[in-house]
Amino acid sequence: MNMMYEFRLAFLQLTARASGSLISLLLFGIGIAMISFLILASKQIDDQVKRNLAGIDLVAGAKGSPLQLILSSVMHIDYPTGNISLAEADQLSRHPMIRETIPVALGDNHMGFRIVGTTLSYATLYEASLSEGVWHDKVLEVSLGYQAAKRTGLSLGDTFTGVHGFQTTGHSHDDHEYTVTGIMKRTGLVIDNLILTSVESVWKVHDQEYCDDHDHQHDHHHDHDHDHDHDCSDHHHDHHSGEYSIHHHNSGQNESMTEHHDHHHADMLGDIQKRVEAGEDISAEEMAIFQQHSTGVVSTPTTNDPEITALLIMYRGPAAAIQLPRHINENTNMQAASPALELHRLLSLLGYGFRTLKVLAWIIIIISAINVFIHLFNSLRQGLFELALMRVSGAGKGTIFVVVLLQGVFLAMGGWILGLFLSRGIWLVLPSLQVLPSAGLPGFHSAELLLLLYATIAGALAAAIPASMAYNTDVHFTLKNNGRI
Amino acid sequence: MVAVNNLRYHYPDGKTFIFNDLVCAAGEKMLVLGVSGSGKTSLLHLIAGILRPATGSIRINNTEITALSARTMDRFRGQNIGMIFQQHYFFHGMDVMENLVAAQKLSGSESDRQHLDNLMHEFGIFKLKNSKPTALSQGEQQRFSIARALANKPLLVLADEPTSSLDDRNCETFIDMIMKSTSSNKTGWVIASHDNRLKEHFDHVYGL
Repeated sequence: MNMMYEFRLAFLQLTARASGSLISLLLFGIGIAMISFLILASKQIDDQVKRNLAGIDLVAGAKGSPLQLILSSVMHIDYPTGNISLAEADQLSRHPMIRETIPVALGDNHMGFRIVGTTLSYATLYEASLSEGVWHDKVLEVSLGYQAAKRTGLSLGDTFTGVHGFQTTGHSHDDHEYTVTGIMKRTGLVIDNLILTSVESVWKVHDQEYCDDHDHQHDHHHDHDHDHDHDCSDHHHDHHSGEYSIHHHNSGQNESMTEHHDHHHADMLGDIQKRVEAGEDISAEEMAIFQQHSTGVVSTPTTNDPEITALLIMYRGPAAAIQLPRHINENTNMQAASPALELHRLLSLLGYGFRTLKVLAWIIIIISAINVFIHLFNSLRQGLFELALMRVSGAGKGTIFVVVLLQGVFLAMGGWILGLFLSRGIWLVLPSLQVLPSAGLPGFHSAELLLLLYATIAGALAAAIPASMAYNTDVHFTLKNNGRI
Repeated sequence: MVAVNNLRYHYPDGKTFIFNDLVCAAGEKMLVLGVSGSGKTSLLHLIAGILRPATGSIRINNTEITALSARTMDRFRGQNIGMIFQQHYFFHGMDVMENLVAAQKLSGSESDRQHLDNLMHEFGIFKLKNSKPTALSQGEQQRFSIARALANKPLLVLADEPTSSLDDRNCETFIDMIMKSTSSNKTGWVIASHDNRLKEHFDHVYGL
């Protein structure tokens, strides 16, 4: 008898008890799927993080959590730590140890895709190129990342407005419309999910609403092609501590405010203040206006200095890695954070989580193996006469052992295949649930082959006891008792 | 063709069976009669090499099977001895045809589907070749069992109480089948039974 027939016998014995076999298969599949998914996810995250570093050596930003600074200004997933002064950033840029800097100004999004005010060097950093149109040039022109264009459905020449903060809903900057001039090719990097514009555009959207002159206010929206006027009595928006959802456009602490509705508010404010002092009742709306304005007065420093969110820094030489971060942290109002260092820290934190989940998955696999044992043990008790029949028909003890052992191995291997399909199924479904960025169908990892080996060993171990019981079956006794033990 | 001499078997509990000598020539059909517990099944299992005797000799076609190793014995049994049981055993996951193929494959032979088709025609189960054995009637299962016992063109068929669960009509059919069976012209039959319905049909009766 050739080995192929033993495979066939094992397979037929499993299908003869289909429901029990299916449960064993599913259990194995779930355990394998979990581990396989974790392998895919950790590889993906690792890969994404490393590729998104894109040669950025250091990031200078507002003081706060260095990890948050990296996540917000490099990975674009967290809220910024705050803003830094452009003048200070400029001064830092001239440091002899610095080869190149790229400014990043955040603040708004469109349908969840961040609008990033930066220079075209940012696109060069990720080797992004255009598939359509031309790079944005003038103020309020934008170039869309691949995913941003695909998901928003925007095409060349379309206009849209930004929503303040990083949530899809919130205050909309309806006065300023961006115009799409270019759409980028897919890079598989974070830039795919970004909307790039000039820093000036971000300034304009956030400052112009209350510091431009009257003429400008009456300009047609689609026509903002003049340079931004920085020397207007420019108080800057304060984005400290990531508070983006409450927007204080009308914080009329600036007495030179020329906008008519701000005058109106200012008058109202004075009125409300008088009434509050007099102990009179005020309406909820008036209360809101009052609070908005009074907080504005307290928290917003009056400064003529434009701000950006962070400065991406490329070193001139290795010595900078030692001196520059200390220089920034000690001599400026900014903090320096190394993307490589912070992301390594993050990955090792994630590693703990992955390890815990892996232990859980292995527990499921062990339970699957126990289930295989129970399934085969029961099959054996019920199908003892089949074994006797095989022996009577000429099969040796060894053949019987192999046939039972193979059943355990088949269940494990079947579970492995099922698990791999499951994990890829989850992988493909997740982006549509917006849990993970779309990454396409993942390839096959060598770690998964190792997983097959472990699963097979688990299946074989689970089958070993039933197999040796089958090996030792007393044919005479079984036949004499009509297949009953 | 089958010759049993001075056969003795010790049960694990210490009981000893001493069997009378037995000779069954090719094509001969022999009935082993005895009440239950008289050692019928043990005798058949000794001849099939499933049990090993304490002393004595069992020769099948000039092979002293008591001298064969366990693995050789399994293979010898598969190729030369067909067995029929009181209960109808079969592989649940396979249809009738596959069960018959399994009998050939497990014996180490290549499958001979022509022979199996002939057998199924002869025993009137050809139409059922793709049915699961569980779907067969009692009589059909019995005929299936005979066909399987003959799948490897054995020298010898050993049947243990083959008629005890059959009604009179099916019992008659069974006797008819094995008596007239052309595929088993040269096959010797040793049938162990306590069924007195069989007695009148056999010339050679071996008492236990």
